[in-house]
Amino acid sequence: MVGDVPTRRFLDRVDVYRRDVERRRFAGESPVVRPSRAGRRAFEAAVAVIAAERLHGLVELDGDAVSPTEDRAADELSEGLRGLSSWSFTVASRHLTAAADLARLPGLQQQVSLARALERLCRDVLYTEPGGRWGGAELGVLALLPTLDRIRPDELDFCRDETWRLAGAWAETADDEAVRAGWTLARARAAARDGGRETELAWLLRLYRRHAARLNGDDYLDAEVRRVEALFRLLLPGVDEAQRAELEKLAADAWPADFRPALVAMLSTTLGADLVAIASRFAIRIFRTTAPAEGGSA
Amino acid sequence: MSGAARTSASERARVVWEGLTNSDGRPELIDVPILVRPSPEGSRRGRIALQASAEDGGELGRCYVFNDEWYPGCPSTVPFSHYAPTLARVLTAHERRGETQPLRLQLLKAVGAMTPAGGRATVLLKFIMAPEHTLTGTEIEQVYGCPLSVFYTRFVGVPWDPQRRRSASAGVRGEAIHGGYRRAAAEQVGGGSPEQVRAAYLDGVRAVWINRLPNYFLDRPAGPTVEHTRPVEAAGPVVDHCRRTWPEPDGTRVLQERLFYAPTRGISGRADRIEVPPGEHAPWRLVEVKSGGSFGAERDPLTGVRRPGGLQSLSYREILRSFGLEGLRAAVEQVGDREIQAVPLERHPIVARLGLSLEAGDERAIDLIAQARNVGYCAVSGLYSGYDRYLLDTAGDISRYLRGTGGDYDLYARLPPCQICPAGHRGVCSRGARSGVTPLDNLFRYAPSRLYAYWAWFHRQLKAEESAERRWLHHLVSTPSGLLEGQEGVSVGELAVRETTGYEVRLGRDRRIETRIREDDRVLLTPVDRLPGQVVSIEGTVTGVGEREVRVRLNDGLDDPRGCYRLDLLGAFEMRPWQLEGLTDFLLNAVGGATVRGRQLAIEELPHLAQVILGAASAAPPGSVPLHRADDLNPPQCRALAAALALSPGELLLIQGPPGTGKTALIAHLAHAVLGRHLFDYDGGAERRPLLILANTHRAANEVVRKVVERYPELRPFVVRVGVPRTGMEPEVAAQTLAARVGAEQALNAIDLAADGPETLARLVRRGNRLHDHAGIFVGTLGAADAAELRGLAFEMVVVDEAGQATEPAMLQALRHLPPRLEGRLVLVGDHRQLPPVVSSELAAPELPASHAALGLGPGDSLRTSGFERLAHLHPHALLTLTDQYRMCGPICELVSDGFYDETLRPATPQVAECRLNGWLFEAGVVDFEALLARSAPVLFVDTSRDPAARDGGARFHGPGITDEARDNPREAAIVAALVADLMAAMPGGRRAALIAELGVISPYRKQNNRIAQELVRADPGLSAVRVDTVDRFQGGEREIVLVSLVNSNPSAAMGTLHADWRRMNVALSRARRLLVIVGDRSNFTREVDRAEEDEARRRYRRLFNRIDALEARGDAVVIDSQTLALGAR
Repeated sequence: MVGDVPTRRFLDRVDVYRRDVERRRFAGESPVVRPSRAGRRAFEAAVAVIAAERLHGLVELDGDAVSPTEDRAADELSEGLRGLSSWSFTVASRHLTAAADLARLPGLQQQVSLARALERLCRDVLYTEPGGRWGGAELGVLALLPTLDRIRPDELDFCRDETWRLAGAWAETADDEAVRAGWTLARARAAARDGGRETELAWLLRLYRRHAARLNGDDYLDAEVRRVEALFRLLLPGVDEAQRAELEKLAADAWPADFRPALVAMLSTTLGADLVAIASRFAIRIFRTTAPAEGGSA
Repeated sequence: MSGAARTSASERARVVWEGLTNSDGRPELIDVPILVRPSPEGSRRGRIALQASAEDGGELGRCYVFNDEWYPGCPSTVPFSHYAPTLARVLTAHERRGETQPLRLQLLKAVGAMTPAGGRATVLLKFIMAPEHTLTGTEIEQVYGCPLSVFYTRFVGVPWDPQRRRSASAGVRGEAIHGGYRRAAAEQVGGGSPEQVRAAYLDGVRAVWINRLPNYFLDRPAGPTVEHTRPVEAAGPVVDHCRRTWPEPDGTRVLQERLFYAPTRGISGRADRIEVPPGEHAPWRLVEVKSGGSFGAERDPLTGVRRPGGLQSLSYREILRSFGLEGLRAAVEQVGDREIQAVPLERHPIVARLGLSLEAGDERAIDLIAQARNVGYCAVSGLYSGYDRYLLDTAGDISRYLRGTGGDYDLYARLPPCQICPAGHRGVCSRGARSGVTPLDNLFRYAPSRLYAYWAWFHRQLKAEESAERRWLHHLVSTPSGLLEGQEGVSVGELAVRETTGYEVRLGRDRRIETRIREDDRVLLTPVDRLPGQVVSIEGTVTGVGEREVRVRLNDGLDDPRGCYRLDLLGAFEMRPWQLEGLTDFLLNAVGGATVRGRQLAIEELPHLAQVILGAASAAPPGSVPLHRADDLNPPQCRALAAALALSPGELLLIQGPPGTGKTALIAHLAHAVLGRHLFDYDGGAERRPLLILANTHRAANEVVRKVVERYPELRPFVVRVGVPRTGMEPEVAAQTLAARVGAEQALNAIDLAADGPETLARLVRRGNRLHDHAGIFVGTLGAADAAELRGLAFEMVVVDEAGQATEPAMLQALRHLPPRLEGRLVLVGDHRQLPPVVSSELAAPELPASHAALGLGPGDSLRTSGFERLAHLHPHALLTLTDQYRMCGPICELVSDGFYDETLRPATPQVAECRLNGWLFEAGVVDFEALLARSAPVLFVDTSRDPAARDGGARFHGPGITDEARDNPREAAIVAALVADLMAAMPGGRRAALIAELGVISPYRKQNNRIAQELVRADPGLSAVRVDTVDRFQGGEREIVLVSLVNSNPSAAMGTLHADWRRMNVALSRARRLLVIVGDRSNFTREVDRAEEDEARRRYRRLFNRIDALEARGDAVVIDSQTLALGAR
């Protein structure tokens, strides 16, 4: 049985530590929780560790400063990188922000900093229209890499190559229709992660219309397109009641999971290129190694 | 607040509260101040429990604030409401800061709600937090654009990078149009003809062009650009608009750029124009003029047209409404190419987008203003983050708004104006990050702890000064004028207008004026029946204070020459924002200059010079190089010059220059040598220049320029005095400004501006570009680090003159122009045994963690501790002292050397040692040597110890920010005046001006100086030109004869805080060349008292008087009992 009174006493004590550290931190001090020497030592140590963990700070144990949040930071970094590699920018951003809050060991801090720089690059690659004004996001990463002294050289080399590769892939979208189609597909997938069904369908429809002249003649795809178009038609004014019922019926069956494979299969055939493979060129690859690294991702 | 105002406000609050508790449960709009503190009941998520009281402390009762402006029985909530989350943050900040004072709220809306249980609960719905803290209309507009930007620029102090070439001509264009429009409006209202109105407009444009010309030099125009042509082209629209608006003089008064302030809203501003039509009930019209681009301005949702200034205008309207002015009309005028478009506030995009109904008293308009005001208050005060490194780093993480506000409210502009915010450009704000800029992720957490502690320690003190500054207006309006005048000496009442010449006005009264206000102070002139800041106030600068009159130069014409006025001191505090920017720039450059990023830095990873400043690395001992053309330097100067030239990049040298030791001459030699070396050896880019000299004051900067061009005329083409010619600037100094060198004033005054203005301006700019390209030595003040002439430049060496008088953040300005990674040479020249920096003495320094003792800061240190002093203690081996002085004759030098320099100071030559006053008087044509001063030894001490009439008048003035006790001593004043008059009577008529120019009177107290000046005039009207000043204002000056009035003489032997800083007396005594007269009570300064803070000063005073005794014994000093003086005998 969990004791109500001991639990409350424990948490109240945590709160006392927390308030004290927050007050000192507000005045500019670093958040270090020092267990009180008065009272039960084990109890105070446990309370101090929990308080430090809540504050994303350090706890001083036997004269050593310990960061109790480092494992959580590593987990958050890992989740953030996973999100990044699958175009889930909102997820990636949330996890990387949390990782930055939690990481105290220099190696892990630099891993997080690098991941955040890559996040900015990946966002730019997917959110800058082909042929649009490129902001030079790769320059930020390339400037950062030589300053990361706690990251293995092979990982830095890998990231440098990835940076060039992603920036180069985006550059190709202006001239190569297949690459542009792959980019649009990637953009649709990113929208699905961050925006939802309608946004993904809008991007897929946009892709379809760009290549509509080459894609007619397939009944299944045409039917899918009609469903998706019906969805957006409903958003526009001038739909009478008779049309509305029909459009609603069609729109109810408009799903990216149906439309996307059909469109990708047809376009891949038409363009003579594997669109899924091309789209994956716009996803960042994560460095992996079997060698031990200081607090970083493996 | 005190007296009647407080009582009245408290009574109103009690009545309102009573009404709420008996109300029918419906919200009421009210407008009263209350004080609140957290209730012991405690708060929980979404509900804040408070205990309210009136201004006079009388309890009102418990009350609540709920999220979304909810209250029991509320039919619908207000989503995105900022009141509760923002108040919660403020209360949390108060608690974390350990503040016990209640929070003042100006309550705007509340409800006496019926609870489900049948009880009653008072719920506060809308309010202004801490209205005593003033924000300007411009800041309110900026908050509307992006509160995060306000947080970064106004709290953190993130500046633009001064080494980035950033055009400033668009700003001058707007200023020129404003300046011209202002004059044209005044002319038109005064009944001027169209030609006169047009001429007035062009005169206004011309004046701005002349004064702001350097800002154009950042551009390199091939011919006239839009920045040059627009102000001239706008003449037509402006003149037409003036004619249409005021076709005939009808008695309408136009109040321009008047400062107004609403103590109940916490907002101040200067509206471009307020039109007051004749007739008591005719509605006033408020006009805000916009002439620049509309970047970041509100976009009309229907037309897409952008219009700036909406919230600013709305806020000013609200201020005027709070004064009880109803039926106000307000408009924003946009000066366009062809016409001036006047957009009534009702049709402004900000009103259109939010669907506000101004006439109906739409609460959302109040919400809009209150949100910007409250969030802005928290942002500029750092209440969201304090100095919590985590909160500082995550301020912009979640949205573009402050994470700490607890919500993303819907009353902000649609797009943040990132283009015009430096935080993104410097990589601090991740939301506004610019391409090509590496973000400084986690800047505050990854900075080494010592660097962060250093930044935060100084930052807190600067912000404390700023906070006091922001509360000053509230203090003025909420304190009875009698107290302001009688106790604090910051106000003078019952003044009648004696004479008016243009904007110059002479005010007087029959009663004697005793005040701390003195010349050069900024003041506010207000009719006595109004409060300062109620529109009718006019800003001005004091040009003189007499016994019964004050002269003021006003910014606008006087409304009623027959009225009775009060004069109030404006800006008793002086926190200059550039100090904050210099401090934060150091943080950015230190962290940005590290070779590693992305993790917490060790202090050893910072650039070397940053480590030296932070005490983590030793400054290298002074080196040496062979010198050429240094024959006229003495050995200590030669050593200092050689050491400066031997500096390596990233190194620091400290040169201590006691009075008269030739600091400026040394700097002139250094300038010559550095420029010569640069011309021969330089292989850097065009933006790398050899030498920047920054001084703490304009006077010192001018002196450097004068010395350089006088000693080395061949350097003239390479020397630039930053800024434009100013009043009081010597001609040879003014000639070194770029504006003077291109002949701006003559060229622009000689042409028809309408026809040839743009072409002439472009030609001047091209000429300025060429001169700027060839310049190698730039001289300015520390505050000019971001001046147009210096933007985009890095310097091999930066010299700070008068570094002992500069605050540490001010000194850091020097580092802003060193090459990347601070790899330049820094030379600080000063004297930490002379006066320290001027700051508000009231504000105590925060505690510095003991772990940061390595910074060289300890108990007793504060913003008043100059960087020079700290570094001299931290790196004594990097300090060279100049010991040979050229000013004081032998006995005076001995006195100063013994008292303040451990007997190391000596006359540089036998001629200096042996010079005497009688020689100088003889050369001046004096034949009558009967006057006491004329026949005196070099040191004359008039001891008033036994003179019962010579007692001080007590510490009269006290109040917030008053840094002296405002004592006076009438007897000493009379003695000083009589001694001077006695000497003057011996002078031949034609030589009196020469004597007056070489005579100075010094006392530490403003009040005593006013009294001495009055006594001098009474003794001889011709003595009105004698300079009588405080020690602080005399530093850097010298005179053949100096009289010092010590003032303090009282039963408790109180020395006062001014004398307790013994460095002040060092400065006072060392101003004299041939004759030093001290008038004072010896026993008052030497007696044993139990005040530890005076121990050091008393020890030095004893030594000083003992040395006078020794000098007297050998005939180099005279000591006289004041009672034996036969005053006025001649």
